[in-house]
Amino acid sequence: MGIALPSELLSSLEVNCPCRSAQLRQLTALYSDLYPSPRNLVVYGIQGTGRLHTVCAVLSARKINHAVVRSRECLSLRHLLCKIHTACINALYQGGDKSAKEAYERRTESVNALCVSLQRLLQGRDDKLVVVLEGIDKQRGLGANTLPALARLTEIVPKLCFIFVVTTPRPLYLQKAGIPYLHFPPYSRAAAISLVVQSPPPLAPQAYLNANQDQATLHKWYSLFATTVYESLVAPTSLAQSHFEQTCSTLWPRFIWPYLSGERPPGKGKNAQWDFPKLLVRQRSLFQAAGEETLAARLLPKVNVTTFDALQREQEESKDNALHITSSTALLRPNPPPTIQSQPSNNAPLLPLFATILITAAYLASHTPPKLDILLFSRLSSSSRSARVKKSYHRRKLFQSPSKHQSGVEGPGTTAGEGASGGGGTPKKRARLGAGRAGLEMNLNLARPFTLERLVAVFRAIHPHGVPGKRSVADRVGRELAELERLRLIVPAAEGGAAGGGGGLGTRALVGDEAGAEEKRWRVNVPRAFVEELAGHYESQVQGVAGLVREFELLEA
Amino acid sequence: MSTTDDGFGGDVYPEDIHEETAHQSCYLYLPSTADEGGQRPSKRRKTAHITTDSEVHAEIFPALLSGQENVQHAKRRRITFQKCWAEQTSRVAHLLEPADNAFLDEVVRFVKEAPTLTDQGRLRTGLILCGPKAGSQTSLLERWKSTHSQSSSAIVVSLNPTQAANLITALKNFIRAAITQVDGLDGYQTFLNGRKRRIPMNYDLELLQEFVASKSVQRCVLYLTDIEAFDMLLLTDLISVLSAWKDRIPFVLLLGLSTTVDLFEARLPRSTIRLLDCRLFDASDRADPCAEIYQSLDAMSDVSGISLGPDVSSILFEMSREQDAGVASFDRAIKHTIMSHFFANALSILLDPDAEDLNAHPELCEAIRCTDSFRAHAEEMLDKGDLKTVRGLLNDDGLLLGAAREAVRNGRETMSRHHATVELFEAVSKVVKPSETPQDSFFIQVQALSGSSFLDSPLYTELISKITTLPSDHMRKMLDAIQQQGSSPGLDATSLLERLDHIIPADSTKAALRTAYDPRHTTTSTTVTNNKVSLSKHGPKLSAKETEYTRLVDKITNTLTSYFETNVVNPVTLFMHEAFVYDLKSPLATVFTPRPRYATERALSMPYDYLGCECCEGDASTKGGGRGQILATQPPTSILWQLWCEAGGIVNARDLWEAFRAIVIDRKEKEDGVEEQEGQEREGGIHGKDGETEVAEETGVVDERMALALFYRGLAELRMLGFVKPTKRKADCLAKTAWRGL
Repeated sequence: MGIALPSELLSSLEVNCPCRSAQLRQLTALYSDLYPSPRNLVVYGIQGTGRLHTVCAVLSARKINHAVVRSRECLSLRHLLCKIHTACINALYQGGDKSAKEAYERRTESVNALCVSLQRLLQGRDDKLVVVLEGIDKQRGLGANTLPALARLTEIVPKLCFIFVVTTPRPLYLQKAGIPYLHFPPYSRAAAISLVVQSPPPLAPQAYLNANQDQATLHKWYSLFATTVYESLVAPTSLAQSHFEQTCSTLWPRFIWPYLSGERPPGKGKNAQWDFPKLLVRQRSLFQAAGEETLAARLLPKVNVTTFDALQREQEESKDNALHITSSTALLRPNPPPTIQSQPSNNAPLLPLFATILITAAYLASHTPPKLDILLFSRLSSSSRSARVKKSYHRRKLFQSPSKHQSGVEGPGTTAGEGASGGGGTPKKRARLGAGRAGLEMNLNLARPFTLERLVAVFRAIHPHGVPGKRSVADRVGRELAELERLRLIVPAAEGGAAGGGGGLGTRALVGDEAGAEEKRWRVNVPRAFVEELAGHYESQVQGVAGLVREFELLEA
Repeated sequence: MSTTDDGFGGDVYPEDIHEETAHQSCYLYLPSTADEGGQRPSKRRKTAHITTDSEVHAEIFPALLSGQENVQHAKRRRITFQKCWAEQTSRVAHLLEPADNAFLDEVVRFVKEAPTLTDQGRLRTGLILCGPKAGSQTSLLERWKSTHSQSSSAIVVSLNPTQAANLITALKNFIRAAITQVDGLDGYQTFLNGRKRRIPMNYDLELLQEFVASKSVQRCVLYLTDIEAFDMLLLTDLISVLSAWKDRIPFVLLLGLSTTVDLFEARLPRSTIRLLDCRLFDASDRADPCAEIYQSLDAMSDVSGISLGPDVSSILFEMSREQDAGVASFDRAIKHTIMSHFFANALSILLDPDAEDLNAHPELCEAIRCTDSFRAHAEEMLDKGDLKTVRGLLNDDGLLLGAAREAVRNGRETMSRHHATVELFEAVSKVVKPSETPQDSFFIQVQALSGSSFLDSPLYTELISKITTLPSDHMRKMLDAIQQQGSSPGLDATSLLERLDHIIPADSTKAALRTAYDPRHTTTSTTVTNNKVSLSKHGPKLSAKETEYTRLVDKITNTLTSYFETNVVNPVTLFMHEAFVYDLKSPLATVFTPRPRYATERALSMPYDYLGCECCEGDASTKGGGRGQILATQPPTSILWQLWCEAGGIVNARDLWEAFRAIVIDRKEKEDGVEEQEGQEREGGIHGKDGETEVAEETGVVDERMALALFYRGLAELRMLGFVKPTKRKADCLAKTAWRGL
């Protein structure tokens, strides 16, 4: 053998790794028998471009000993080193003979130890050993110097080669000059489509095929369909080949269904027939909103009628319903009645009333600057209901003079007079952080931490029925807060939370002697829509619950 | 909950050996040579006390009636409780099982359907929606292990957030649990040791792969409970690792969600979502288990149990509704209820099934005579003129006990009739549907316990008025439903059905008959006279059949009303209800809902209620109770707290001190001047509480220095309680951190 592989081997490789002939040729040249192979090689490209597959195919064709280590499976650096060692032994001793057992005994805690072990393993061997490290850039617990150290191993250990399979290497990745790089670009349009067409999903089960329908027509249409999907949905959104394949196989049954189900093709005349353009026009919604739905990553896809059997069932059901809607019009709807798997929130509310109001209070406390508590929540002034007052405090004004509002006198105890939630740190630090961070948080609608006392006060203020008399509600709030925290609807805020601990009434955690001690703080962890939806369940029981957020929040300027 | 556990299963420690050294921070350890000649001390193991000291338990139920009660009675009360509770436990378990099993079967089918080893595709995932009242789901998994794991050669491992602090720990625990499940802990160790050289890391999934291959395990199910509490980064990592191995290990992932799928999805990265192929299992919309448990309690009451009164029931109802009480905690609440009945009620001995041989214990009889229900009963008999019996009950213990036992038996029968009636009510209202929203059965039951006021409630009146307007086909359904409930005295559904059949046969194709009360019968006619529109309603014109039907409906309504009126009772109106009805609000409400902050604040503002000394009471007689006023004789912390409450958000320490001094010093002067004798006594009250006042008492003055010391201490205590904190914003000032009465 020489630099190039025999042509028949090469062509079989090209069948095996389609659309990768340039990379195949480069790899066969690099790992030829004639010249020494590079000690290190960096293979890069995004996932799903057949990097590992191609590399392994070439190495097998060249009959080079190689070991693959997937760093996705290695949880720590030590684990990786151990895996490299084990993989090398397995590659050299295919059976589990005695010397392999001996080799397992060697230590691999560090790169140094691995170096020695590999040296002893490869001592006196003539054939080289290539170690392919797949996705090594995603390895957990990788130090800054680990990869350069691994690259140096090949200088010390003779006959050892590394191939680093990565996504996007930085320049001088291994801190070593002269390392060859091999790029696996994403598949081009033509390549991507041909790949999908070559390995189609089952185009139609035989049971659904009529006499005058054959697989060949379907195959022809499938290639056209794949092109359409690529142009309309995949190309603008994703480069991943697997994504393309998945989209095609999801949409295809629905696309071809009018043809298979024997629906009357549009057009006049008795011998009107389905062809691709007619199908395309008929099912155009698949390339619009419905198609986008399949692109979105969701745990529970909105539309789960994606197989022929499900479509058949659906058709039968719609016939059974016999609502004088022919199946054609039923399917014509842009969104065929999606069988959304229902969520419990539709019938039973997730939380009881008290907890619902509490989470509303928490949302408000998180999204209102403490300075405005008096303005928004006070029952003494009528201003809290007035839209004019709320509007006049537009946001820029609020945060332009942080030093002023930081030093503001705290209000009396009618509402939470917690003052500005300056947080910890020195005054200087606070001043620096104050304006920028607070403004940013408001603008980004980030939830800000609040103290328990403030939450209780806001709760009292917004409760639609009012909390009767002097009945202390703080204890119950504490209990429910713990429950909400367990559900992660409210989470302890990272800052200040660290200093928290036991002590006090459960409300306070004064640790240490100095004033720097922080109270425990929480922030809400759910979006506004969730809070409002939750509260909406109780609107029929308690007037005004659903509109609490809108009533008390600060309006946009 | 095991049946042997009777609620007092705490460890009974041997006499504390180190009692004399307990207060020393450092001491010389001298092993006692007395026990078994220097052998090692016996281990504190739970197994020990179950066998040996069942005798000890007898003492746990104290003799009641200020210690006069027969010890044997106390013991029998305990035994009755245990019997009662064991029965209830088994019933609850039996009750919840079928629902769980149906759900479990669905999940198991899903797991079995999963493709075994796929390189392609996504990780098979089941999202199990447990609802916020999680807790019953863990038992679900246990049941799975007990029923399915052997047959289906699947490994089922559940991990909770505490077992998965980081990725390595999570995988380590997973692998260990998986191997242990099949081979036991020793099997795990030997398996690990056999591969120690090749796979040194015990978190390497290769271990599991080899294990799965060697045992030919079909499925490897990982159930992550309480998914919200997991660190999302960790979860992402874990999913990516699992999906990397799914071509070698047949993984199926189950995620237990407490909130909603949307919230969970929003927290997961897109790339992770793409790895999962999910299906939803909704366990949260199952029938409310709390209601079922409550109902099962009713079923017990006709054997040897107790009934719950309206007050306790409404607390339990609220507990199941408002607070996130899971099944377990609701079960505990019920247990507490039953236990407190037998623990603290001497009359509960009457519930003992073999209470016949109760020897006439005078104290017990005296207790019976003191009950309200006995008095009411006696007065009722006196009104009837039955003087002789009343006298007999008052004088003859034997007669009284017999009457009491009889009353308890009757009462229980009444209660079981009551529950049957309420069940009938529910069944009828399910058919008749008096309102759009379906009625909650728990709610109906709690309402029905209020007896006569239930019969006036809209819940009841609406149903009856709806029945009068029922057309004949619905009426037939209702009568069928009543018939299915079983016949009960005073309600013969069969004969009513026969009469209905007589009027209109069941298979008649004619339109259903309507009663005269049906609003559709009345017709409205509009006449226009002199540019005025007048509406007039006309009474129905009924056919002969309809008239007959109306008559039948009248009869049915009358039968039902009289049946409900006789059988729905308020249990606390029955004679001897003290023995078999538990209706005390306070222990249940306070035990399960502690209020630490409220208690602290109350203690600080009203120290008298807690200390009970004269001094803090102040001039209670003269100044309307003395509540809410600051008295010099109160403990200094309390004084300071009340001053504190009057102040605003930020208080100058100097001002506070001035106010405090004014009060404290003033007190001394007043005492010295006015009434030294009384002052001494008052001091005596505080005496025990703070040491410093001792000095004060000796000298007879609180001088400035002493007052300052008290001030400092009070402030420090307030700070320790978390009401006060120093502020940096103003020098010499303190910030308020908690407001009173929030």
